[in-house]
Amino acid sequence: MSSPSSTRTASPPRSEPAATRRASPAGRPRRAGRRSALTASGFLAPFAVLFLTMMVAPICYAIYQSFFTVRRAGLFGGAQSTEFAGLSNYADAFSDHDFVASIVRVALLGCVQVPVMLGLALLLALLLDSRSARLRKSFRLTFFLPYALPGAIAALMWSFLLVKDLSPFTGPLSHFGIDTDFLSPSWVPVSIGNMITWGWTGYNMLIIYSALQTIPAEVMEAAALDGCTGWRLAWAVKIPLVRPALVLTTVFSIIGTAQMYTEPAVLVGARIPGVDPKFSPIMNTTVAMDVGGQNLAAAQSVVLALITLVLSFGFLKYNQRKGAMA
Amino acid sequence: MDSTTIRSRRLLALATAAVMAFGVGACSSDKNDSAGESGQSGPVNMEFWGWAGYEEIVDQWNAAHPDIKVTFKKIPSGPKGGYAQITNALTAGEGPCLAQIEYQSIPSMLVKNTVMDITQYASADMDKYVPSAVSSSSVGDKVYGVPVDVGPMVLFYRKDLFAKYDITKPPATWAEYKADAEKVTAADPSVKFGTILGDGAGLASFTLQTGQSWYSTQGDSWTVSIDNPGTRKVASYWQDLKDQGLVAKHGSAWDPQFNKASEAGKVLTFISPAWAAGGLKSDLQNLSGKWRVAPMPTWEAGDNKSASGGGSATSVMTGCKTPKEAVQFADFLSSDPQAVKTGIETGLYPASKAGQDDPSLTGGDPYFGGQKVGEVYKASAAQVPSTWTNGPTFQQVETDFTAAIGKGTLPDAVTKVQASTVAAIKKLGLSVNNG
Repeated sequence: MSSPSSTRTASPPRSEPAATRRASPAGRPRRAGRRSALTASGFLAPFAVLFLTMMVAPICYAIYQSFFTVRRAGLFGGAQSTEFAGLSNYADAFSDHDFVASIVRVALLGCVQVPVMLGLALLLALLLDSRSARLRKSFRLTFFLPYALPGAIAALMWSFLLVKDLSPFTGPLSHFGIDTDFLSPSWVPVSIGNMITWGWTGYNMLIIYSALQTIPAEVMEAAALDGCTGWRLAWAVKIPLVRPALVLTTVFSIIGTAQMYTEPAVLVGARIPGVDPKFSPIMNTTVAMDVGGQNLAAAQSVVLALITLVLSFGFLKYNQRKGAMA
Repeated sequence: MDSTTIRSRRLLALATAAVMAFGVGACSSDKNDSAGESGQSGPVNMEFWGWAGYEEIVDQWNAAHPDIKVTFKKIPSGPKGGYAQITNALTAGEGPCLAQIEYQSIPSMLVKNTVMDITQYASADMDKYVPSAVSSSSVGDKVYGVPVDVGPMVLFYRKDLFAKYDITKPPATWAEYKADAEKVTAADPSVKFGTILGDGAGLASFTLQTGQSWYSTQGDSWTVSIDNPGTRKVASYWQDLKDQGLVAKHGSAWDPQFNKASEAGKVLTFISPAWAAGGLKSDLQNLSGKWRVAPMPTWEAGDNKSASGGGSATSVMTGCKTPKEAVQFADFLSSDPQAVKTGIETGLYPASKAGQDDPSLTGGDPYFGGQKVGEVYKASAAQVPSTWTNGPTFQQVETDFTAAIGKGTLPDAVTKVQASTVAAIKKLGLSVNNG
């Protein structure tokens, strides 16, 4: 359904303040409305066509596929017929130990990695935004650089940094009596989490940083007049004001974690023993696809999409309600 | 921030437009692919998809056959997405006429309805190729591909390090291999005689040497026998070497860890198909003259059984309107003397019997200190048993072995993958028995 290489591509953040969004062109004569609607649809059409053909249609096709199965007869199943299978592909997906295990694994990894990454991103953004920050531009670029590096190249680089005999870290560490293998089965999730954190902290930092930039100067001034500076200013004023950006980055991170592929896949591709070739849910669907089980793969994709949807929308709703109560 | 957003959006729009234009272009150029009917007059156009360096051979064919034009398109290697690309294109009705298919993937491609039975066109020419390659590209008495290259297994060893650790000759049997390994590790625990057996493909090759097979067919039914005495013997042998720390834990040629260990003189041998010589030559140029090639050790002294790994055939794809011409081309690619010579230059070891006698192979190889390595390869290729049958779910077996070996012992992995393979074939809707 979704191609693995396109994982974690999220739409660019919207940093416009809520106030401008609400200001609708009220009081305009109705006649002009029809014409402007026509113009609007003209501008929207290219997007709509691409969105329908490249997003909606494949999703519908995957959902359709997930309810069918291919019956095969003969040694190679030369005589194939497609039959309605109801929910049996979904039953297969949930009884597939590897698939379920990969969902649990990725969920646990995300529970640890996402807070660490977003905490780091927030910290870096606050540091960049603080009054005493120096070399702001070059630091911003440096933090963002890992994200600009193509994922596959970065993961390849990591596979060299992590492999025991090649890693520049294992040698010095062993001098201190710490004998590590970053790719031993128990370390693999930590190493992959580290790779993702390295690659995505800068991206999230940039979103939070741009939100910090939109905080009105009067607010800051008022805070300063009240004697609120430094960490107190960050904690009491800045962080509450960039909450929408934090929610947004969390949602992106939930989606990204659910679609994890590049990092573990490159480690598997480097033929490193100990990395499970079915580490993440998407890797399971790829394997299912490879052996001609496109219907099972479709069902797995739908399951994954639903889980992602529930988690990300659930988180959004929860925050909206909390925001409304506050 | 805003300006970059707009810029990246514009870039995205441009890229999308480019992709669409390209996609439309690709569709229209493919149209003439299957235009000419067999036996019809007029030129025939065929597309050929593969990942080996076949470009020059295709040029040679086109120069000699103006009426049958072949266009070569380079795709990612099969397991890395090439097979998916072929299958998807065929499903969309825009696929190639010919494609490079690895032997072990022929049944998997048959399950996807992509490979054509070419027995009537190809069977007469099949005695040009070594028997093991012919059996690898057929199922039962039906031919599904013309064999191009084979990977006869040999032992690559370091002559200089053999002298250093006082090993007089390469091991002829697996018992001698273990004795040598013990000797080397006793002299220096950081030095290993060989490298581990770490994946399903390796286990399959070593099983082939025992004369056993992982699959057999009876009528319309598969029998899976991954858990067989031969595989058990191989698995416990290599697990024992690993447990005793007698083999290095990294891979062989092309593995950066292996290259580092080789340069430090920490590894003496590895067992691999002949094409691994290409990896040595490209990555370890500074060790030129130090490596030699010997036959693969055997289970019984002088039982003359070798094994093979890798290699591929040229198959004709379902829906090709000109199968006869396609097979003509495939035969040219695999057996024309000039084509075979070109193939050897790109690192292929030919399946063609005549090709294996090509002077560029039988002469001394300077990288191997002037040794006539072609003779070792040829002897190995001739001793590969023709008892192997490939299964219909190759990728699943590979993946499951990698996962299972990462978590436990080799014998445990054999038990696990036997069960998971039966389940996977059943899930495909094919008839299968536990063997």
